[in-house]
Amino acid sequence: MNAERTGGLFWLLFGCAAIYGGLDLELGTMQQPGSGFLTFVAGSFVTCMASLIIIQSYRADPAVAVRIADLWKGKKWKRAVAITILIALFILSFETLGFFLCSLALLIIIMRWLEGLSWTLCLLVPSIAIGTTYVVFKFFMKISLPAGMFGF
Amino acid sequence: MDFADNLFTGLAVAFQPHNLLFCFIGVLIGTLIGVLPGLGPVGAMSILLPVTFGISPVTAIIMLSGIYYGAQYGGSTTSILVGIPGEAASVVTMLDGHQMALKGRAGPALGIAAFGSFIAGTLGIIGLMLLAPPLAAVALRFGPPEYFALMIMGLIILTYLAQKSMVKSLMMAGVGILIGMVGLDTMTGMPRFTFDVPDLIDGVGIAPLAMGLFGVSEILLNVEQTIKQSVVVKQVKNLLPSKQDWKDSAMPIARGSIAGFFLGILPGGGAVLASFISYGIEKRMSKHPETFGHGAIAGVAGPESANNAAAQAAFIPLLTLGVPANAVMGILLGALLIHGITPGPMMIQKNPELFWGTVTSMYVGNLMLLVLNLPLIGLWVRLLKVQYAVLFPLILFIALIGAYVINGSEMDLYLMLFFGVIGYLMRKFDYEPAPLILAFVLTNILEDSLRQSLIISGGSMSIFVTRPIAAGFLFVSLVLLITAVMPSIRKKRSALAATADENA
Repeated sequence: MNAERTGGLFWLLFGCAAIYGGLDLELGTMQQPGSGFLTFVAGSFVTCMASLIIIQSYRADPAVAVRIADLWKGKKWKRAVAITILIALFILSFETLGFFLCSLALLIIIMRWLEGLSWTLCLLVPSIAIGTTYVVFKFFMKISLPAGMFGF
Repeated sequence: MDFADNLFTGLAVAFQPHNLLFCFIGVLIGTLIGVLPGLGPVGAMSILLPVTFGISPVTAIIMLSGIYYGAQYGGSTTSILVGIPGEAASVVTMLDGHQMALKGRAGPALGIAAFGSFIAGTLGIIGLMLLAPPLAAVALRFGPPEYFALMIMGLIILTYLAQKSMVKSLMMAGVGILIGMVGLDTMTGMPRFTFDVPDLIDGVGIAPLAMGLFGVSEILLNVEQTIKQSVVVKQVKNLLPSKQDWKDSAMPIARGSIAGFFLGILPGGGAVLASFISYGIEKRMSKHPETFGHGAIAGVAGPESANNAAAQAAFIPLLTLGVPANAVMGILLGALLIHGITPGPMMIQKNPELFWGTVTSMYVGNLMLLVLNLPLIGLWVRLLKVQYAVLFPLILFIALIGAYVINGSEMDLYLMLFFGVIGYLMRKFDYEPAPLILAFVLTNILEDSLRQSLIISGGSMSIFVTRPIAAGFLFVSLVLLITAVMPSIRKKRSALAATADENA
């Protein structure tokens, strides 16, 4: 699939959704613009620009067109996916398991499992980072971090 | 108050111990992120935004500003010693700086970069002090139509100067406005695009948005590739440039400072553009242009001076008009708004301590940077050897905790992750996030000024062309849009983008 065209299509749909949202919020009048006025204008603008991108993708030389698969060719994209999943899991469990457990697990998993660093580094660096962060937020900035179900 | 009184007010603020401390922390972090490839000043500032909540607005701005101009200094170290730009504005420095290092002249390259940065930074601050108050006085005459037109011009200039496609950049500005619409309508109190999520009533926060688009997306892109850092110089000696080096660099520093200052004021201009243009000027004016790219010291002195002067000048539109010139200034605007301060022409009168304190702290910060960059160069060389595998988990961890503590809300974390993935995909598909973030922070002012203008004029759009200042801004915007589609200009823009891609 052509990368430019796909990107353009995505933003075209986004722009159309914004136009619909703007109409739904009410445009008001030119004398008294409503809540949806700028949304409608910005949505229409995004739709026009996205259409231009799609048209340009058809007019471009097919020999130099970039396919979606080319964007990830030769890249270790699975690592990016793994990091995204790990962040999502961190967020899901952050308030339940608490700051210490979640942070330690996240850092150790990335450093040991994903990056293959030595156990010494994997334990030392996160311990210092988590300890320092806790002290800065808890004692200097007086901001509470979630204790979680285990109370720490 | 006259100039001397203002200066003393500023010095009194800047020399308060806690402000000195946070200025030092700012420039230290700035140098660090400049030295270490992988995280730019926008990402670092957004990640550290929550840290400023517990301190006063002036201290917060002093620290965040320090990160910005500190990064301009630090970026040159990596460019010269490793041959990888520490941050975008140092791409050009790498061309000749790294060649000098390969020829055993890393010391003078680093020395002239630091001295040039210091001189240009100081000149930039003087320009800022002299130009900001009269500009603010002029801006007091601005009404909603002028503000609307000014912001449109700012967005158009930013997209005009974008390295990639202008159509895409314009579209990103539109997307930024739409994201800025989320939350309560400030004029009617009506919720917009909140999807019944209470956390979205206040809108999308600048911190999760910027952290996602610049911080998380940068990490996701970097982990996909192997980052190899090989420091060509183990020990740096003779940091003080010779007499001949000074002779070769004096005019490039002067020209770079002037060009950088005026390009920095332009909305959408900034350090990256200033460094590229300075390099072009020096190459054109040199008696030996063939030496450029092979270790010409003028190729280091000019761009380094230009990017630092531009970094200081970029504060002018923000502090006097309330209009951020680039994405970094957008983050600063967000920080000021979070602290309950609206930058603009009234700020100098209403908050003189904040304005003059921030400006004078930059003198102090520049001095600190000179100390950090010359005697501590050995430390930075050692830091360059720290593996990215150790660094990025820590950056990610700080970003996650930083996003959470702003409101103590999981929603901010989800938003950060969401925009991180969106930012990653945007960069993959060649969409620049800078216009998006700038339009996002401008949305409220843009919408209010548009609606107020239409109410004042009774619904007539002619208000934007019958008022001379507003008409002038819109005329410039129109000229830029027309020239952007002219075939000759389009070719030049494509060539520039290709050069930037090759160097990056």
